[in-house]
Amino acid sequence: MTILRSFLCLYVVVASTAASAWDVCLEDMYTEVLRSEDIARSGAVRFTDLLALSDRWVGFSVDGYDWEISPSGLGLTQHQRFRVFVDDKPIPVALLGKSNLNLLPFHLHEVECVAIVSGPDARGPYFSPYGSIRIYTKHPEFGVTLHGGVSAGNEIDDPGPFHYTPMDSPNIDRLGPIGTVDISAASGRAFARLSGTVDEFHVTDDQVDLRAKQLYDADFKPRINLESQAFTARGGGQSVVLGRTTADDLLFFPSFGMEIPSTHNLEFAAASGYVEYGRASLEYHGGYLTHDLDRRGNARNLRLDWGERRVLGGLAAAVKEDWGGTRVGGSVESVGARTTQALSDPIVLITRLDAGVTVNLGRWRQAVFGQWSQADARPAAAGLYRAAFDIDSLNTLALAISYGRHLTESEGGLWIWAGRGFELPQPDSGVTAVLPFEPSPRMLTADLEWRTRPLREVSATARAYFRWFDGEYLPLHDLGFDAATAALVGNTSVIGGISGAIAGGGFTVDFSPISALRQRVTYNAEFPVHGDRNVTQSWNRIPDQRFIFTSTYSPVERFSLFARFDYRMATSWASFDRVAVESSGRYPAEFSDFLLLDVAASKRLWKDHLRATLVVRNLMNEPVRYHPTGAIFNMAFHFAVQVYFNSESGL
Amino acid sequence: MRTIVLMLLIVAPSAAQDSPDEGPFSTIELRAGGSYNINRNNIHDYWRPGYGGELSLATPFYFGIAEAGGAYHRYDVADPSVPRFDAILAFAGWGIPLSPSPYVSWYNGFRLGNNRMTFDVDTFAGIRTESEFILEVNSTLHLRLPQGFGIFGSARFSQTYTFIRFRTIYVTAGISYRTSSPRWIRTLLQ
Repeated sequence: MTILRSFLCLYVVVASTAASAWDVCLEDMYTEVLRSEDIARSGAVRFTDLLALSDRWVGFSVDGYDWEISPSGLGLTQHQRFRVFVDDKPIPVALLGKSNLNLLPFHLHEVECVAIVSGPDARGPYFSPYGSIRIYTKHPEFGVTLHGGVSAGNEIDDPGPFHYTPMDSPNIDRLGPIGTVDISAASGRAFARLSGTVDEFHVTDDQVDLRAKQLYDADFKPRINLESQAFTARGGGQSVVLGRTTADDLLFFPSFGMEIPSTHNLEFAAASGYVEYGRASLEYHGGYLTHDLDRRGNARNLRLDWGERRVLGGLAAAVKEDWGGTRVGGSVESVGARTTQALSDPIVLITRLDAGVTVNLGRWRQAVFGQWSQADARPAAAGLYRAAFDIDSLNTLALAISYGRHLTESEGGLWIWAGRGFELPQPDSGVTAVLPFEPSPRMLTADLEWRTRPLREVSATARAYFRWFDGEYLPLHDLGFDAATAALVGNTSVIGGISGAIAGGGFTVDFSPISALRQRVTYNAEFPVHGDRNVTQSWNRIPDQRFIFTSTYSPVERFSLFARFDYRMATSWASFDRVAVESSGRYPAEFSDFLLLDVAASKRLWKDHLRATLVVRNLMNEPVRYHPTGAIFNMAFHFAVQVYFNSESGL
Repeated sequence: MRTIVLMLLIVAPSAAQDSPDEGPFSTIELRAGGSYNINRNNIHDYWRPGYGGELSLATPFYFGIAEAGGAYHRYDVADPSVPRFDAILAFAGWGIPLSPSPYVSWYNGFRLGNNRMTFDVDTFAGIRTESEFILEVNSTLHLRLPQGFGIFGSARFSQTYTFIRFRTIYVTAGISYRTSSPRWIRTLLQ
């Protein structure tokens, strides 16, 4: 009963920066939790690898490094509006509508757990109507700890020695190497940690390589190089994170079917904390973040000339009572453009006020949350109601309903800034990069979940959800293929007034017949039920049904085997219909269903000082493609080693 | 994929029949041998795989036997239009031994690893090497001699996952030496 209640705890409103990682990593309504050990056993090495472990979020990618995400029907699949939090601090990694999680200057070894929220998230410090990823970093062991890791791998189908024969074939991607290191000092209640990551990503797949060759020298092999450093400290209810990332990125813009080489610099400093007075607490958060896109050398002298500076801060007061709690807060965020271009308004000032109440009455637990916000002179408001009812000791029913008018100014969208005068370098395309209206999307969401534990070894969740949206906007593409340059050409225009509705549902069953074996089966379905052709085509980009089976077998403490089957239905991209014909199928507009099988074996050695992991992805060797202009992914393997030394545990 | 299924078919029946009676990591066996390529296919139109060698360490795992090691093979040219290359294989493997008597064991298993090929000329601008995933299925007959020594003969089918699969069959003969694992090795592996 206790476990079941903890699954459904609804301290949405009063949960705050005061909560420890252990508190916030409980599975909750429409929330998946990935824990450190599970992440390590799966062989994930990058933050975007976590998408492959999510049963509910769907990602699609051109190069395999930078993924667009559709979070469980929350908004049109073209928009990347989910929020990213690290230790409950907002870290907006999205820029110009692209959100690359790998820009986070941390590495997965630092992570205690990740909560992937597939519904409106009011945990704070501010409301995330389009879902969120919440990353919580580890509190290191007592003493001084040195932790490092390296991983590298390869995708199959290189030409090998046949390169020198008439049987030559294109070269294929290499994975990594990825190197990570961190050093930390910790007491029981406080710690400080310095960490760094270097990451190479080679995109040599023919589909990307041909386009990239238009931008670089003919012999250049396009690659992404990333370096990052971070500092994290916590103690006495206060928390600080500093970080910087430099990524030589290809920066593919699906909207235009082209890469714009850029060096992406991300720097931030953020702090949060609380002071308690009996049952009351005063919470704060603040941060400073800059994005800059520098020119990365290229033959066509393309340069994005873009950057952003964000300053944000907020205060909240919370009171916990026996019957629940209340919370009232407010925040201010300034988003400023950094460009030499003349914009009509280069700074947006966003203010937010929010309040919430949690009430626990016997078998009922309820929470109400409301937010009023304003971007410059434009107001918006949203509300969320959540409730859970324990039918009996083994069954719980949970409900969440939200409605709101949302601001788009803080999402870093390309079209928002284009509407203010920002022009993309478009030497070949006739892009109408102007947003001819002020977007004012409204969204209604309803989620219903039934969680049960019919047997001690089995727990199950059945869910249904509905999303209705209105006042949305979409970029529409009229794309063609230029055979002479192998590039995409065409026109893009932005339309507004899009409305539609999405219905979805599914179930998840966890069963553990023996303690060493944990298995999970998930089925998801998601369909548009209202809207015009644009809405239908938006959802055709993602599989409308998915079936996932995950198994982890740990016969002994230090050895584990991991397997994950992920079956996805067919997808189609209507805007590429003409391109598919003109390119003779090089850029297809339809993809058939496929089954991905990933396996991993992980062994801890030398009293946990070493860990070795061997991963084979796409073991069935399905030629998987997520985007018409994207690479084809075949079977790939990689090998990872971690070392770990702590001054107190000795050798 | 067919290779993987074949591998499982070979390993699975023997897994049901026998397993080592020692505890995990209780012994360690060093194996060294010389190899010779015996098959013929499209790779041999251009290269002559010569003699090679392999060195590996094997130890009882929680179930079956785990091994890790490396192998070297030289590929001289059969067609002067292509460059010579050396292939260095690094692998980790697992398998099941059948032991009808204390003096004989028959081991069937598989290996996963990386085949790093180093060419005499550049493959791509500034690069002379090519690495690719390799899967091997091997079958080894082992005769135990006094004092922990042994001799073995094995056959292994290798598939390197180049676009056109690079398949070879090698036979290997060599000697082995098995001893109780020193405490530091057990500490390292457990």
